[in-house]
Amino acid sequence: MPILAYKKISKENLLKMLEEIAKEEELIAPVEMYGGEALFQPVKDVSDITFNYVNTLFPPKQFLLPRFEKILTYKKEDGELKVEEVIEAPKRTIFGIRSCDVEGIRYSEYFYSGKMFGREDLADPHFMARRNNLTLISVSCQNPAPTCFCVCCDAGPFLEDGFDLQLTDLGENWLCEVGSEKGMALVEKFSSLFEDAKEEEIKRRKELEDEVLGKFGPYPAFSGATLRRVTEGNIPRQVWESLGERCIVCGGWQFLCPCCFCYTVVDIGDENEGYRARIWDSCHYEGYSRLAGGPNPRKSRDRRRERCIFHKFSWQYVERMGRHGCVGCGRCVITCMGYVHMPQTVWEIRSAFREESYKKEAKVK
Amino acid sequence: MKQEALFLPTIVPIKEIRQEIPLVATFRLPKPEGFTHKPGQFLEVSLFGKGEVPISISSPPSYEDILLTIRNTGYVTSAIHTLKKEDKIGIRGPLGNSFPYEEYKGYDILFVGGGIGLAPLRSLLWEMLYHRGDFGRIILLYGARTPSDLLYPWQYEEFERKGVEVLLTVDRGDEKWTGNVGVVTTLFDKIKIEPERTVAYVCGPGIMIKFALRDLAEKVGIPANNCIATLERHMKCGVGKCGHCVIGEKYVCIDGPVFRYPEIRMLEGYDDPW
Amino acid sequence: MKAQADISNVEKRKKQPTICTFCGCGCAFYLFPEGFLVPAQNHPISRGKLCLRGWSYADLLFTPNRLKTPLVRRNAKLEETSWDGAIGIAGEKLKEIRDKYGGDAIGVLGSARSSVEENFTLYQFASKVLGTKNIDSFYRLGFLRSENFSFPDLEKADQIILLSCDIAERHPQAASFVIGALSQGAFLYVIDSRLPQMGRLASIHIQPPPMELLKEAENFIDNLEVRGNAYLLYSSEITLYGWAYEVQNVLNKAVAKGIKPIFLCDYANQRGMIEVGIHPQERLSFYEMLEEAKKGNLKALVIMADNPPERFPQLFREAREKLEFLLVIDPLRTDAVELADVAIPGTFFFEKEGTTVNAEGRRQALHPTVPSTLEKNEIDVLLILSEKLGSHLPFPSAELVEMERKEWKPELEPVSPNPPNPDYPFTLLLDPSYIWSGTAMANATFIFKRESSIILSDFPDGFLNINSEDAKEMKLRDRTIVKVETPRGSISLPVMTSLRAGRGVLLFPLYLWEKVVNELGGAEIDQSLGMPIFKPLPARIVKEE
Repeated sequence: MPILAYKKISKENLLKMLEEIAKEEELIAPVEMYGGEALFQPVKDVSDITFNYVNTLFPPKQFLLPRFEKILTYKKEDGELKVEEVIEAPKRTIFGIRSCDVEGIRYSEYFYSGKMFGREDLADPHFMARRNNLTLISVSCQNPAPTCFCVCCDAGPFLEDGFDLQLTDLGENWLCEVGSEKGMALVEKFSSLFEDAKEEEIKRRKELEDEVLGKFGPYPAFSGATLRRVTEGNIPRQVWESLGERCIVCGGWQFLCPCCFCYTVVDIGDENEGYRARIWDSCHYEGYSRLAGGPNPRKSRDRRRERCIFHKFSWQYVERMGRHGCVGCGRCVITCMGYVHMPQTVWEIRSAFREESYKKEAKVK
Repeated sequence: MKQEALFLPTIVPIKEIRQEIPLVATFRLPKPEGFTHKPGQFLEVSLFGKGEVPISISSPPSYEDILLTIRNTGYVTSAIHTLKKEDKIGIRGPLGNSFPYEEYKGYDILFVGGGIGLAPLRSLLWEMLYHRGDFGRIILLYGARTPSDLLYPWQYEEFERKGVEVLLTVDRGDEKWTGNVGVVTTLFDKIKIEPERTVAYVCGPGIMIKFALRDLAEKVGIPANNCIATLERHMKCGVGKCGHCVIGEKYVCIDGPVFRYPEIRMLEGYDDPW
Repeated sequence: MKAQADISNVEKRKKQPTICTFCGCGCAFYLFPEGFLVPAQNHPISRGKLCLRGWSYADLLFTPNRLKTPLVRRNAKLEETSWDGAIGIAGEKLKEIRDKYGGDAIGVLGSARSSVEENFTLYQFASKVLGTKNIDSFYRLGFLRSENFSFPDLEKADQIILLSCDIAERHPQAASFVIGALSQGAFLYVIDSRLPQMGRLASIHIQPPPMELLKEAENFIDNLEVRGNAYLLYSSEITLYGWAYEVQNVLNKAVAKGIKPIFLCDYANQRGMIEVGIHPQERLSFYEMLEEAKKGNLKALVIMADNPPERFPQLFREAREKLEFLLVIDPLRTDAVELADVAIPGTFFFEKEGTTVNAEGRRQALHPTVPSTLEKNEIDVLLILSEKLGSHLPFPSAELVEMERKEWKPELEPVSPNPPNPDYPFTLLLDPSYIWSGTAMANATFIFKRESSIILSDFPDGFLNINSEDAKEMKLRDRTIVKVETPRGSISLPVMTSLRAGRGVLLFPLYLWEKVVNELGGAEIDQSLGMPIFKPLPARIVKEE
């Protein structure tokens, strides 16, 4: 969808608008933790919002897919088993989300709506209810962190759509790009706080985008090359084994990644009363693919890594999902305990094809 | 199945439990209102307080009840095996895709089953027996580890009466066993078929499926597109959300569990089942 | 428009991190009541990273294994009761036993899952109110000494030696620091009879037979050219093999060459609990308490957040039968709780105010980031119990704890090793791996419970880990039952083949300790450390099936 309107709002007025929003619904914004890190949390008082962050360690994923979510409750009453679905979908606005996370939300929405399979009758009711009640006010990045590489992954630092409002810091004012009907409705509701943006302000936003593109650090991901290698399926086993050797199986990458959303289901309670909940799971865990009774198609760490990269970087999935599964947010770089995160994986895959010795043993299908 | 109730099971009572072989029992459930399924589909069976497991339906659509053959192999299934008649259980489904068979009218049908893999195959085999005239020869090649592990032995006579050629084999015989000894793929030499007008349906342990499909396509000569298998993977949601059942780019719960050989031959994670 | 809010209010509203209760690394994360957690990024140990256990930690907020109300045993069944009721009964019974048999008939077990202040109060309760010197903890198993170091410094190392130390499994955050050092050019030397995960990343991996390990380590250090910052990491294997005294030669050589030895302790607040008195105090150590109880000499046991049955189930059951009274205070319904006379709920790290000390010696504050719903916490319970027993204990203030804490330095004595025997070409070795499988903490989570139970489901009768090459030569496959014969007896176990065991080495996991030891002539104790050990034992294999 092309940009619907270019508006402008002063920094003071933005806080006024957020304050009003916080009164009517849940406002999620970056808040400073005790150690100085920023994290998306519900705020009641807009003075709690911090602007002093590049990106939070956690994407605001848990507001769409909570780490621990009750999906149904059951209770035995008069000999009858009553089962009820639990859907919690409060109205929320997320302010301060970055472009990479907006792309991540779009990716996970494409999956959870069932569009990936062409089966919208199988859309996840919990996720969709929350997504429909969610407004995204994103803030574009002007100073990427050394670990960022969204520019290699088609996911930033500025987006064309996916957001409701995209704000760019112009100094005294924010330039506000309206990206959806919901965003338009918001601007109209607070029309007294917004002005139309001037030509030179829109031009300034384009200039800022060009400036940012030059500021990226040493973690390019060259996703195109990786995609080709993974799709062709002849990456030598040594690459996966070398990555598997250093993987500490913490699962952190899958929890922090805006494009990861696998979960497992547990029943809590006894046969009379209790609930069923879903919890985030990581494909790097040994029990992820293990069948009851013991057979495990992905017993070794190299196999699990291979499956994860195939899911994220193969043309077979790009065809189904509309884009590959990495938005270049760089969080895996921070959290990986064995230093075998996405950029490292990409580097090793690409190096394998430059080394003669690997070429000889490459498995050709 | 309404979207709002994607994860909500329907509660049904167990009508009957029949012990089959050691550790395996068949549970008879009434069909909920408006329930129909196709052969090859599965249900997510819930035992509240314990969990949910995917079980293929082993009764045909034309049968009055739902029959689920469940093996006692893990946390949830062992709890299911402690249930009795009249106990309540939750089911969600039917889920997954189904065996293509209407397009094979007039063909010869070859079933290749191993161990508990006969359970999903039986839903198709039995359905075909309701329309026996639509199909040519029906051959069942079935193998298990020992004679006491052969599933549904009480039904072989009925199958033969209705025109199914039944060949059995075991990995290890006992004093009374007089039949074939060897893995089920050793039975391929014992039958004479016309590969161009035969379709094969395979189910069993992962390694068996791999070799059976390969031999059927390459040695026996059945066109690869007519070699069809139903695969098994760890599943939680059964509706393509939790991500556990993925092989390559296929979600076994939505794109499967039934696959044709060319679809799965090149999938990442298929060539080394386990 | 409240743009300029009161800064102090904002500071107070800032979310505090909490510290993990699993291993001794002491990672910090932010825990939220809805079941969400984030590693602390600016924390010097976590740096935004957590291991599989840390990520599962939020499950404790919803675990069905939580002990919610006090329980008391009536007619052989545990029934719910009030807090005052439970504390009243406990006070009565302890007073009765103390007055009838004397304080020494009571044993007290503290915990590495409790804060320094709670362990301190427990110590005061034991020594001053109950009048007993039988104070210790099962969480002391494998502990050797406190060595102050810094993980961030480890990342800047130039050379790292791992002496029989499997950090990838037991101290993943330490492994992360070591891998970080490697990615910056450090050299890794692994001296281990096993092949742990870190062994595959080592520049040099020496795999001597277990009985020659310390000698080989000495040789290696003698010949090593030390460049820059060098560290030697060791852990509970050394203690559990009975090498606590012998290893000193290796460590002295290391120090002489400028290599800094580091002991990695296995449990969260192990150091903190030991420095406030939870260690053998001239009387019974933790294992001896159960043995004396089994003989009928110990009449009562007070357990705070410890779970002896997870390591020694049979011994605990036998001891429990002879005890007149068992009091357990624990946030979880552990096996000890199921056998107790009175059980009182406790709190987790994230529900209390206190301090914990990690393997580095770093003191970290605990805050109630998720408020507890319990009526009283452990310290309240202990102080009230003291009143019931006629004494008054002061509240454990920071100053008080600071005054009393001191390092525990036992006088180590040499332990004679099992002599090599030419009739027994293999060595049976205890592998302190799968250290959390089957434990109360692991089973209180969901994801980590699934992961740590895989080995228990795959090998329900236990396993013996044999080197793949050795297995091939002896034509052994997975799950073949073999008989292991040793000079002390024999035991039959299913085989698991892998490269983790070195050639000639037979490994069994920590959770099989009691089963193996009972077949092989009973437990051996390192008296100076007051803990059971398993010395490397010559063995041979006889196929059974």
